[in-house]
Amino acid sequence: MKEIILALEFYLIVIVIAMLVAFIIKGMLVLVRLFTPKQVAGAKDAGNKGK
Amino acid sequence: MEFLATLFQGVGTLFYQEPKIAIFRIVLIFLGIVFVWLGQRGTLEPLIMIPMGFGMAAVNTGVLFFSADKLGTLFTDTLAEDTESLMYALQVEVFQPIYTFAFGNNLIACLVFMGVGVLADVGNVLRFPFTSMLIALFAELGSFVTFPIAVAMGLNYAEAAAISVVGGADGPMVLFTAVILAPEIFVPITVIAYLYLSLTYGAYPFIIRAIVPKHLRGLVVKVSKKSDITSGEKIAFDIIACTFLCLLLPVAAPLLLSFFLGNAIKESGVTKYAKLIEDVFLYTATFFLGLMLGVLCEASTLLDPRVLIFLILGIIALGVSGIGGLIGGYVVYLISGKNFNPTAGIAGVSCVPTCAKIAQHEVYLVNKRAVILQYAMGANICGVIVSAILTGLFVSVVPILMQ
Repeated sequence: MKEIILALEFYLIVIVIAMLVAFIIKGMLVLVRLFTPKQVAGAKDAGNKGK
Repeated sequence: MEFLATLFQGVGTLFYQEPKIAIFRIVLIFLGIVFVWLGQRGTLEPLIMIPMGFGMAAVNTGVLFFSADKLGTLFTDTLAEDTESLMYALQVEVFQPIYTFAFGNNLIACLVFMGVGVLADVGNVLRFPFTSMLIALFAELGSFVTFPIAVAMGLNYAEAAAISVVGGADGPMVLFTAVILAPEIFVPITVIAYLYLSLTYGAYPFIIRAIVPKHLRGLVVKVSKKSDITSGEKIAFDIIACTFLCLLLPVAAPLLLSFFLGNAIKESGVTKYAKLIEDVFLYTATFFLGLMLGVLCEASTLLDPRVLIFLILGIIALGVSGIGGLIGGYVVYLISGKNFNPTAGIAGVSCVPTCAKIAQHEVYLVNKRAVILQYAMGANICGVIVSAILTGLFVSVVPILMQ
């Protein structure tokens, strides 16, 4: 019984850390995209036509 | 008779050993030959099984007399611990330098992991972080189920943790945990782990067919438009995840560093480094891993009654993890309003990229238009991350619990 509870505790810790990693991924993506200058839609095409 | 035994020592030593060891030596020689044959046929993973089979056959045939009452081989001495015997072994045993400088300190596991990092694409993890992580957590179930069973079967916490990690289906992780927590039994555990990992190709399709009905296996997932993940975002993920996980689990830091560094090198476009890691480090490490595992399969090492227990626990760990992954697939299927193919769940068992390929293959057999590889690869990489978290946790906490 003691070992089952111990295994469950291990599982809970792993779940918490793994979900933290998932949150970090999501948050990091939002931040990176927030600070990356967006290319104006069609700007590349317009530039090519100008050539 | 004595002259013949001295002349042909490989055969002669069979008559000077305990009968059960001699018989087991012969069994292992044949097993080594069978591994090479099955590896060549592709039934077992050839990259590991061919060198391992050769090593296993050679180490059990090449036994010789060191003195009147001492038998041994010229391959490696795992028992050399003090400086004097270690220096002697380094001069005499052919593979001792590899064992001492790459195996015992886990360098080989880290090199394999660096190669896995180069092969991995974290783009799908970034696209579906929660889905992938949820599946990977379910697919780790085997490790947690096996741990109390192992203790109930008489293993101590360190041994139980080492065999439980087989449920994560990651060879380097099993090696890393076993070498640190249970060095005296790391050979049988790692051999069993790699043997079973080779068999996932054969066994997991049956588990998928038994649990996921045909109409769900052929389910085409409607994909909403997801933005592309740039290399910069992948590298940002690598460095942040590496820093965060090393901060939480310093004991697993070498493994984590290896994986994320390998991936960052690939994404940064430094092709010369990426080729070096993939073509040289990964394949050299895998070759020597297989060969060393074979060489370490001496009859006296494997003739441990606990090997049978490890065999049973290994099957439980991998089987339950596979079933757990598919349950995770069903959970995501229900959460997403039935717009997810539960077959992708098996890929949460982290054996990269085997499990993802198995999932896609099973789906393809039912419906040639159904593509789940992007979900499967995401779950697959998250499986590696979850296994690394578990390994770090076991290696950090179990020694404290043992005190």
